[in-house]
Amino acid sequence: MKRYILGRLLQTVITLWILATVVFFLVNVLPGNPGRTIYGNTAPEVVVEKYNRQIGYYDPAITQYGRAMKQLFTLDYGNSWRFNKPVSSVVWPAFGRSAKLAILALILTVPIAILAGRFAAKRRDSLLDRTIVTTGLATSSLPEFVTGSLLLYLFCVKWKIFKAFADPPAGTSFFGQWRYLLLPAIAMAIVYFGYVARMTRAGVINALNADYTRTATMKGLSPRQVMNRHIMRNALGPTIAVVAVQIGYLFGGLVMIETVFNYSGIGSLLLKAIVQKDMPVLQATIIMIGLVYMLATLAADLLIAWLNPRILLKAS
Amino acid sequence: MTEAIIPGAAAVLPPAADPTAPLSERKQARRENWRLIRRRPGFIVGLIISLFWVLCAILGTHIAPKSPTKFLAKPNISPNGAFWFGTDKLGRDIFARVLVGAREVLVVAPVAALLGVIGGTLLGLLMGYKGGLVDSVLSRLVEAVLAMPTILIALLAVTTLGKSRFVVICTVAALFVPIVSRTVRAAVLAERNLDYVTSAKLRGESTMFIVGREILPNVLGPIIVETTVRIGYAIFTVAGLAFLGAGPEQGSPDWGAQVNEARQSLNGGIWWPTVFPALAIASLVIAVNLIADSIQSVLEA
Amino acid sequence: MNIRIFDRLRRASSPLEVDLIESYAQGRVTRRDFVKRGTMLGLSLPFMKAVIGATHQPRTTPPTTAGTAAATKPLKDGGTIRVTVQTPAGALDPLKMADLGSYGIVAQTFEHLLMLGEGKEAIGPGLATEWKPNADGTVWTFKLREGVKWESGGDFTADDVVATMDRLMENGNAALGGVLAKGATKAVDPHTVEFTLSGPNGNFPALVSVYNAQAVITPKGWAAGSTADVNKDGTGPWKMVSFDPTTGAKFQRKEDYWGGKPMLESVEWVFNNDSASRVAGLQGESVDAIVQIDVLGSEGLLADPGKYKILDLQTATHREIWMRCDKGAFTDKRVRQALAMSLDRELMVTQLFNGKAVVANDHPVAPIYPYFDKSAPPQRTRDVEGAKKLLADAGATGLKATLYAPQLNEIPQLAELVKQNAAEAGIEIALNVESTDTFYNEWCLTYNPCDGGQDFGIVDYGHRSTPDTYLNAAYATGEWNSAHFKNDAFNAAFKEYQKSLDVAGQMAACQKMQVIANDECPYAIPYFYNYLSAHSTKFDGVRISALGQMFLNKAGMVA
Repeated sequence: MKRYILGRLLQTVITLWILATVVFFLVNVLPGNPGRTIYGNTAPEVVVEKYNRQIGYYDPAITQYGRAMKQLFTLDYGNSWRFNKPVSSVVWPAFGRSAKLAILALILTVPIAILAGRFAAKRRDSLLDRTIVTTGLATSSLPEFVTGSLLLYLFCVKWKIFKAFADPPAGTSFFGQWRYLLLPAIAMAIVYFGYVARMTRAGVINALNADYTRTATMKGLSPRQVMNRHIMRNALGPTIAVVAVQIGYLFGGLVMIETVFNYSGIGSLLLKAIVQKDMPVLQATIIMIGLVYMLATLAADLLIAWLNPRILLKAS
Repeated sequence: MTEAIIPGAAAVLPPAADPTAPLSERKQARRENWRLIRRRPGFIVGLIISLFWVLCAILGTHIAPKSPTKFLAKPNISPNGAFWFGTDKLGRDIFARVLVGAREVLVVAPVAALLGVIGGTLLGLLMGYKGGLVDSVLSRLVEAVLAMPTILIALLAVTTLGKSRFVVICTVAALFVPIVSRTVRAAVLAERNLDYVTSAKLRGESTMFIVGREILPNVLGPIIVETTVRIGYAIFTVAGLAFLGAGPEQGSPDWGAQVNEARQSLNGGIWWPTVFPALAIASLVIAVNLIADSIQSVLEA
Repeated sequence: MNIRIFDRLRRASSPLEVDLIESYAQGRVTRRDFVKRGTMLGLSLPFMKAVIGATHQPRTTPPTTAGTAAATKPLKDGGTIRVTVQTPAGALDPLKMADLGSYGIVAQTFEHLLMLGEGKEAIGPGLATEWKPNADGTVWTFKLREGVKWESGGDFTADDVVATMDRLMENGNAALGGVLAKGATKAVDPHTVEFTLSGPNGNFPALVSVYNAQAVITPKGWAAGSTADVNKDGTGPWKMVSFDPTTGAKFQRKEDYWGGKPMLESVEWVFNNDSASRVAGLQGESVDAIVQIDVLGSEGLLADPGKYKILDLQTATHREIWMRCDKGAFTDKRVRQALAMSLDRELMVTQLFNGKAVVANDHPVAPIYPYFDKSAPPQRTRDVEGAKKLLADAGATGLKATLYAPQLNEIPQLAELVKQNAAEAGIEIALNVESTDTFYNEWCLTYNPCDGGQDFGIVDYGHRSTPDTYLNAAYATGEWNSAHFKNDAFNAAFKEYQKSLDVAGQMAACQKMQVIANDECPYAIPYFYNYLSAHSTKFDGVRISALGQMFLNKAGMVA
């Protein structure tokens, strides 16, 4: 087990390094002049050049690459080109906000979806099964911004149950914040419920047909014991993996929900950085989102290995 | 939407027809599968809906009773006898625009999905069969790309390279390659150590032969499923790009673009310019997924 | 007409003022324009009222609407108003800011020499209380308001104004470029400033009013490059408490503000770049006001006047469709005219604004300006056949072009209409809508003028109280001249216009420019649209400037 953990950690570090390199190339390939962006088009060329020299814009590629790696370790990307403020001051708060929303969405989606998938699998091809599968399919067939907009209209404008701007004002109590964050979290949950439920269902069905299930039943365990002790640990493998990927996605890919509900998370920050060609912020956000994804998949792999030690054999 | 990266995918993927059987038997097994698929109600429904939209895409403006581009009437008329889906904010007939919009979606999404699957299959075959260092290195690269947020990277590419359909297709395809490669790799791994592969190696067959004629037909099942799933994601991504402002040309009846432009009026209770294109998107995605599910169920059984 | 009073008033006035009074008495200038023009010349309100009273002119034009009117309902003390606006595009540097989001935020803590006027007047006293030109309009003397304090406690004096103006002209300014030079501002005494202009200019006060957003007065110790969120020391009614470039800003009222303590205790600005989300926010009660709304998309707000008060300003806001004159497909003016002739302006006014706009005639002199001359040139109307013929004459039948437009308000829909209209005349247009960031920031950073290197595009112009800025920057020598238009007759007429201090002179010069602009048609200008703002009826007394600035010092919660 220890070997597995170390191995996976090493893999994560390498992947992170590769990601940072890819981002470095991206940023250098894209057009953009930091000095000019900050000082505007009326500033004299000398001023622009001086600033660029100062931040190392004209340095050779190797030096710049070295700097990018150092930045990766310290997570300090300097100043945003558009706002002339430290990148960290903009990225960390946005990250925190995304984390809040992502956690809430996960709490809403995962337990319900897993339970639903499990029920559906046990009563395969029954009406309940068909309903769950079809509902999951239907709700995840609309892009998030469509679902989000419709929910926004119904629950915030027409019936005024929730707040249209999801950012809770400073000082709102812990439970008060739910009123703000619940609707975007529900919008996300609706889209992902189907996916997680179907994954669980498939996993459970597979496990139900497996040899060890038959062995356990023949050993005399009750169906419930079989389900909880054996099936779920094996069936949850694909589900956990999917949830891990979603965690990574919930941070970066949420830009549409963030726009519809005016929530300044890391997705819309990255969107702004792309549109404004603000390279430091672009770099920092892509790396942070990537880091979250990698940590989530790492945790998922470790969890799966713990649940199902046979995977360790396969991996080695 | 998210990508299907499943370490334990082999457990969920369909075991192919017996790979050691001679070719004609395999062909017969495949024909039998196809007959089973054809009979499933989900498949039939999915196929009918998909074919309907394909027809709309082919016939284009000829199928629409009214013009989708002319400003025929006052804006924001609610659905009535003359305009079945109402008019949008510039006074255009939404029914016509929904029908004609199928072309936009069906030109971009399936092509992008197909290219992504082809690329991903090649990569996955390589990674799965070769194994070792090649696999390790490529896997890390694949992981790194997967760690980046898809829709925003797509937006980055489009803002830099331009908004042409070609760029969109290539970008979406490129982003799908890592995902598909994962699935294919897992399937290949399951096959790699089976007897028929070993016997082919002993026979002295070239790698190309083994991979192309022995392994590939046996992993075709999951690849087909993956293709249909990818079409759904491609539709999502393209709609998402329209939402983020990198969509097709202004005025195009693309469903995603229509919903995006109509969102604002939704707040005033004008629901029809949003709902009907949204239903169109939903119907196509559901149809595609029904087909995928049917194929998967049959191959699993 | 009370001759005796009238004569007395006339004898007490300078030649410029006399000319204006005469014009009014003879009906050459409407009452509204008299008041506007009089304000510009520094006439006091009681004086103008006296003249109006003495001449008994019938009202000929409807009053400008409620954007600048005071509250009509009784207000109570306290409360917070939440306003939503686009995110400021960059740092809050008053000298460099170029977007409405920034203008609005900076206008909370900083002020101009001339601010919004009371009632129907467009501009009125602000940090300056009186202003007078010399005989030929080359030197303007401004009297500054006494007793104004900076937030830090220091007194507001002429030195601050001098320092601000010098800083402004060192950096460059679209409105004052070529009008005022660095170092031409002098402090005569602590409360009097003298501006020596580069040439005579009858509209100078407008160029240092709220309509020159960058000309906010900052303290003399202000370092160039500082931003308003770091250096918060201003004269305005609000103190900046917090500012986050991604989420919003909070302001607290100043108890000792020179214009009277604001009734509202605080103001909260929420940044939001999505127009659908902003409207949902107001309807869903997450915010109480939206700085600017479009007709298309605000149906819910416009349909419910009991809940939402709509401020509807007839302004000079417009769009310019530029066609590059010195190279590319549009060098022949017949081609440009053909495009302009193919436009269905009435349709645009109905479809895009539901009537809340007026048809324009391919020049930027809006009907609200006193020197707008309706007689010449005649309004261009839709003539598809004529357009086809012009194209054939110019050998440009089957013309293909790509039209660039920013993703802003109704401009994408305008682009669609232009494409449709032009198609009927045989011009095939492909549309390319870019984000506002690309359009304004990126293009303006790398291209001068800000045309992104494109021959054909649509750009927006916010309101100005005189057309000087438009004429200067777009048609003459300015940095917004995307059409690369160069016409000596126009430039001469513009100089004439700037020199004229009397109404007749300005009108004559303006008419010349109108004719040239319409004929040469470097920009097709289809309409002037109303600037709309919306807020909840729980509040009243909100005043806006049509340039993104919202003035809340006289606003409050309805009792």
